[in-house]
Amino acid sequence: MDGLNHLGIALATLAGPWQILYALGATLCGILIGLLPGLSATLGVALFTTLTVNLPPTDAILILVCVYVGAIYGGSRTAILLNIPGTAANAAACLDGNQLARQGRAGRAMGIATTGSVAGSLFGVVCLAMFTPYLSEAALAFGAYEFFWLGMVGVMMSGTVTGSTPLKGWLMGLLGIFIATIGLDPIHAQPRFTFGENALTGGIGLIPALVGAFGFAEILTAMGEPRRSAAVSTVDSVLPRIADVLRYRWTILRSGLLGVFIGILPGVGEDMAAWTSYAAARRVSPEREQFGKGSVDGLIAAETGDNASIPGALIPALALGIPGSAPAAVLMSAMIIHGAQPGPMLMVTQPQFVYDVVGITLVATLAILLFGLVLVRPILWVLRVPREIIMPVVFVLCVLGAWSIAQRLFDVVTMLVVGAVCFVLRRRGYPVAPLVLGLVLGDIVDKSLRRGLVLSDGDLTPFFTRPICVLLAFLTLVMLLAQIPAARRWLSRRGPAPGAS
Amino acid sequence: VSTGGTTDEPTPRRPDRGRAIEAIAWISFGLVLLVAAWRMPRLEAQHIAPWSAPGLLPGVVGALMALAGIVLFFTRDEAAAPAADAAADADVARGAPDARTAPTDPPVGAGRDGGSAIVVALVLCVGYAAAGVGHGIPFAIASALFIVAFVAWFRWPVWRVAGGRGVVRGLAAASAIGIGVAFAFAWLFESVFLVRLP
Repeated sequence: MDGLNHLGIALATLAGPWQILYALGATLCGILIGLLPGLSATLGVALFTTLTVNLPPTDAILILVCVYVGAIYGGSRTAILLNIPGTAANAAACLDGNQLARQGRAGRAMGIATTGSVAGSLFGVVCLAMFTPYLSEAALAFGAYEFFWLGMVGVMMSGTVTGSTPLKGWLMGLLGIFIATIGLDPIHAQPRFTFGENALTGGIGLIPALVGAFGFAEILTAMGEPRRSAAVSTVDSVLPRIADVLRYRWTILRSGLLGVFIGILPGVGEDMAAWTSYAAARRVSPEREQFGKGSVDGLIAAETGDNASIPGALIPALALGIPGSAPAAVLMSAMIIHGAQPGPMLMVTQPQFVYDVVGITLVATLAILLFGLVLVRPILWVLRVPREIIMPVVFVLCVLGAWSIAQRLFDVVTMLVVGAVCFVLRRRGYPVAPLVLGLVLGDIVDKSLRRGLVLSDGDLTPFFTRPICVLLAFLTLVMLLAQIPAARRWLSRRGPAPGAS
Repeated sequence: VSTGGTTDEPTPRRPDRGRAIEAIAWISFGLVLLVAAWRMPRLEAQHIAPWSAPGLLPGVVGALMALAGIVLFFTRDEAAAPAADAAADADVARGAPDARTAPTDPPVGAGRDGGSAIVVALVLCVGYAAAGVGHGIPFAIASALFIVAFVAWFRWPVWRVAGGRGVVRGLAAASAIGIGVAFAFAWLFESVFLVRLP
């Protein structure tokens, strides 16, 4: 009952004219960011974090969540029309979305994407409202040992699933943790890796680093690639259909559940949610032979899965302080900037904030539905703007974004250095998402490891014997073993036949 | 769900000097971290528990990096191309079309791309951010100059196809975009977001 009261208050707050304007504007910006290949939801949330520093917390989080939801939704347009995922989360939507477009049903494909996105997001919002309080309550029993493993599992999982070589992903996660240790040590205020520089005492700013990693690095990458041409130029009716929701209700339900579950897993993210939902739908669909050739079931599964994982990723971010994805990690940092302390105590100290986020996610879902019903064709013009015009404008925003948090040139230099390093590492096949998780979770891992060891007087046993720790340590071990060829062969002999998924 | 494109069939060992250099770089970096962490103050004089020493996690991270670097050195390269984009590789392994082989515009009028484009973009971006911003030039003017220079350099081949008139029209459009965007951003940040610009 308290929850409903809080949700009612949140929705009443969000019904103000400014809030509606913020929600619509931010969702539109998010969709445009998602539409442009290379500009990710993480970059969108990071850039808008810098713009909203001076706004009241609820308005700022409203804008950031709307950008996040809008970007993941907007990326499906590019997947359908260009066969290039607008964001990593939309890669699975390319398979059937672009095939539908090539059959002259691009509008229908976009309508289906809207249906799946809205249904998935709504399902996720319900789960966010239901599960966050329970997870928070359960997490009150967590100690330093559990939080150490949660942080490590987040970094490890992100490294495992986001690149082609998990080892490179883990190295990026470790690099992120190292960067997070630069500055004053959080327990004894002892400077680490500062080389006597005052600017480094405060540490490497998360937002400038992320703007560099996802903005500057992407600009360099995009300018080196040949320009892609649109495969489809005409669009039929784009309206979502209720009949699709009814006909594919089981796909929506299954993909919603999978999306939320994958979202809750620390560090996994929306792209894996989309792929898992797509694979599950292909396994049980009556039209499985149509998958990859323009299946409505496949497209709806992919889009439901990735959008359901957005509220899913917010559940551990709010309840544990461990984000479920890279954009959720940036969003969590923004929450901290605005005075909220995500973690088990959030439900105790600021329960209204949790329900504000639930209400905000609901508003963002309604906003993508609105933009899915109207403004589809006008929004698509952005795909015609040459990247040579978009990229310098984005770079000016990157400079402004890095500067405006603390108004220091040091942050602009941080953005440039991190961006250049990430560009080189990406060219060598190193994924950037684990770096984000490492940067955000590094502090938790550091404090939890040292506090845990102090509590146990240097004894490592509690890290491996407490029930949750056993589970998380086992999960970490499985991720490590799965990368050893002999162990992988042993596991695959006991698992489903290759290609079954 | 498969998360990689690996099979049980043995693949021929692909000698990759770049991978070995990467591995050595990671090992070196890890060892440097380990040494730096070891040399950090342990605050014994303040009777601090040794397990809460500031260098503990950086040391563990350095050791793990060095270990991962050693594994990387001896790991067979399963990726087809050493410089391939990881996300694209992973997606292709899962069955998605390869965005890198998607249809591209014909070369004429398609602008510049490739390695030289990256270098020029890098020079322009670093020049603007490191030298143009915060060194006396008003932000809006520096930004406008950067945008015009960037657009002009990369759109020049497209404009040239249309002849002298195309060049003039292109330059005029680039100037309008550069000046418009730069001054709009400056106004937005200073007047709406109340950010003091460099």
